[in-house]
Amino acid sequence: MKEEVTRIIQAAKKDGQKTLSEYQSKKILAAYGIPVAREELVEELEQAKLAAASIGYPVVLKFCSQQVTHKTEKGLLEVGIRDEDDLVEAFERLRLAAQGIEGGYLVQEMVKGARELVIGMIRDPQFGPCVMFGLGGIFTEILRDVSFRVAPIEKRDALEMMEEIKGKKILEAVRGMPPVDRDLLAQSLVALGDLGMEQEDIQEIDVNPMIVRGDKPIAVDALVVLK
Amino acid sequence: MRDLFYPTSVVVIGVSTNPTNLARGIVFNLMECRFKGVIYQVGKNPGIFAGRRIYTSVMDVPDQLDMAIILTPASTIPAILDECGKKGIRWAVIESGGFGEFGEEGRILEKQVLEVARKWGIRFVGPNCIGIINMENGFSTPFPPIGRLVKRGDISIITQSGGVGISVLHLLANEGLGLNKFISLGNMLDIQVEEYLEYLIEDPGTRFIFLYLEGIKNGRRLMDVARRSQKPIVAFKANIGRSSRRIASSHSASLSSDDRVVDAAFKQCGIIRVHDATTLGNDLKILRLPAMKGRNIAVMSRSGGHAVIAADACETSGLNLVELPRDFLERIEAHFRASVIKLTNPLDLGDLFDLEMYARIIDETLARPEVDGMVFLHTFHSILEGQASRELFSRVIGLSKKYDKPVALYVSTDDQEVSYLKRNLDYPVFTQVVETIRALDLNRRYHEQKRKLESRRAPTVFPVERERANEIVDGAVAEGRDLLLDESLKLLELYGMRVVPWELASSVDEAVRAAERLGFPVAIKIVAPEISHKSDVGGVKLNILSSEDVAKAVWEMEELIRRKSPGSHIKGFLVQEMAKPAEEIIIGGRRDEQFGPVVLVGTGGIFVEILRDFSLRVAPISMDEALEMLEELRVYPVLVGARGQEPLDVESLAETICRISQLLCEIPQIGELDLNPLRVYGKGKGVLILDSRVILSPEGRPSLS
Repeated sequence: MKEEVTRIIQAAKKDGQKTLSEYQSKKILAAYGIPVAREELVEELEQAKLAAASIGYPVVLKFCSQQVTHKTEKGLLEVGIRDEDDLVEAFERLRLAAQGIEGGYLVQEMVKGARELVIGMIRDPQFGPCVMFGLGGIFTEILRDVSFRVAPIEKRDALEMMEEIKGKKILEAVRGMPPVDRDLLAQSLVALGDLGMEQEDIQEIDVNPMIVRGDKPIAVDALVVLK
Repeated sequence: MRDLFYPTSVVVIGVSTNPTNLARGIVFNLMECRFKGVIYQVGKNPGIFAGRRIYTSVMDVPDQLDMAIILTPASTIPAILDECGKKGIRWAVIESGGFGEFGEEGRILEKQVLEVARKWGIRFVGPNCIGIINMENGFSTPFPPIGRLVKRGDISIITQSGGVGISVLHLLANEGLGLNKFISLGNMLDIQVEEYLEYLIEDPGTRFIFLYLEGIKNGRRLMDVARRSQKPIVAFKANIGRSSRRIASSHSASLSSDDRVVDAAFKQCGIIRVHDATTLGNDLKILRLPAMKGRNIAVMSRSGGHAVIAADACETSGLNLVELPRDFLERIEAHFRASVIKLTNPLDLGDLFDLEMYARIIDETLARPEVDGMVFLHTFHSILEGQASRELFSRVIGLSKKYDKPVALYVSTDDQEVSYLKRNLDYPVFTQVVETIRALDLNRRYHEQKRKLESRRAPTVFPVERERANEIVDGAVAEGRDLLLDESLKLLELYGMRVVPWELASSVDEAVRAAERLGFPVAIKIVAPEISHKSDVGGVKLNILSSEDVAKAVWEMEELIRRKSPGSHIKGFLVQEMAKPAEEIIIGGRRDEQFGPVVLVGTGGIFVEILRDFSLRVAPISMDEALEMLEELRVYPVLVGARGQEPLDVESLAETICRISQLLCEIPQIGELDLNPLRVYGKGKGVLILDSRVILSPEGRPSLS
């Protein structure tokens, strides 16, 4: 599997890519054992219909390109697609919005959950690869409620990181939701550290959001930045 | 009240010849403090102490008396006080313990003491206290023999603990600060904290007031008095864990702990709250400096390291290292021995040894209009530069006065010199860099808060349909229950708030027709007096897309309720439009025992109690205050358009807080309420309330309390 990662990165570098597309990014996460949303990359509507049928509605349709980072603002994201009719409409809207941009269409299962997490890897100029963990949305962006560790990390480091977050109660059984599977989450954090240690060409990884479905955190969107 | 602090003939009751007698300490302190008045002693047995006769009754004292200081067993107090009354004494300090703090028996005694006091018109301090110290006339009643441990000055102290009071006196003494008056409150059976505070606010000898409180009886009155003070009031309110045992049914009630209400109340009346006695000395010191009128600070340091630490501290506090013009800095650089350092703010003067130049630089820096205040970090050896530094300091003090801008002095030198400066400079000296900056920011915040309070507009009173609102509440009161969802929403509408369009349906047919009128998608919520947490019993269905689904949802809900909570009386089904997604906020309030109605606003939605991002005020509030509340929220950047997103309708949100404040003030039967969530749309597009709970106060619901 790790050869696959090297292959993706090398190919991207050859193409002069500074970042990997969402699809490529998640392939890399999956190769390291991080649970990611089920998805298929397609080029045209008929393929999208097949993909949606095999993933199962409702689905999300995204325009996938390494040229685009903020999909929501640019209208390149359609959520809550309930059936094929919806899909046809959504596909058309995306096609218009994405005119002139190179890329494909990503059909993705809709991961439902009220809890959002953010995990990531950065390469610090002094300390090298570091793993980041935070709660998504305003927790991370406004409150800066995040925890860092210098990679590589072990499971117990990952568990400690979860304990350092001010909003950590969200990981417990709240509002009728089960406690988050911390072992699984720890596994993803450890994997990000390993990615940073082993893949010298990766500068940064941002998994945002990681949505908790039931008790399982699943990477829904991801961005890998190359050196 | 002045008579309490300036008696001319006093009697200490409870003195004996026994060396372990406590009341002797009172006489000792009066003598040590050179009380400017006559001291008499009364005890059970006759004798002599400190060269004075011990009488066996106040009636035997051959003089007119203004004041009795009593330290005898609690059970003897009513009779002794009665005699004092007979003698014509109208003021007393009762130091004895064993009253209300001692259970039922003590409370009966308290009642007797009050009766006797009322009969004679006696006002008294305590019981269970160490009484009064007035440094102006040497009137000092504590029984621990503390003597004259602090110099006369302009700080007055009101304390609910004698022990804490004495340790604050030690702190003042160590910092070279002076005391004016001291009051140990004790049980406050007669004279209340607000009366002392009122007096100190008017007292010409007092310029600063420190309060140590463990409980607040009448919060509103404390706020009213404090608001009138032109003198800084610093308060340490301890005992934050003991919240009144109320059962919170709403988020608002559970968030607004008693201590958060105290925080809000103090802020609203300009009291500076300290949470940590270790910073108290610095807090009192920094307020002595001229007001820091803005955030712009210039730091001047003799050591590069201190300058770096100070710059960090500015960043973490609210202060801003102001940029000084290049030509100004170059003029200073010209005086350096070697031009190795390129000056910026902080001004690192490590290369400048002429202390005379320091004063000139401070002078020029303070003269700049963009500089609101300075910190001068001075490291020196007292043997080499002690004298020159003292002279420099007195020039700096003069400059601070001249420009009416604060210059906080930090010194790093030997202990002896520090303590000399503290005692003789008559200007505060700081010894920790970070603390100096923090304190200077406290000075700024205090004056900013004071200005805000002075320019405060009166709360707006909106025209509302108060009578119809009262009818709804009275109806619920009569039935001994809280408001139902439809009633809550109606109440909010009568108070001019915008609720997501809804209709109450009592049958499947009605629900379907309501949904068709409102337009799909809709939400359906059960309305039943027995069900307060609708979603827990499956009483909420969202995003219903068709008439068929409405009918199905209502059937299912009925069925589910019948199974899960049999005996529920379903009043109906609330059919409601689905509001467009937007930022979710909670607004709410409750009635606090000490402070009355309080309002809060915070980040809403499902994680309200995990985020605990909210701001609180004692009602009523003005629009300014409502906007200020929003600014305090961590989510505020989102409200005003963070990350290039559309700014939201903050004005409508603030208006809703004001309307809730008005509702709580006008309808006292309401005990607590939540509007959660409330969605805030873009500027000019308003807010929408999706759901709410209104809970009556125990008084408003006599049948259940």
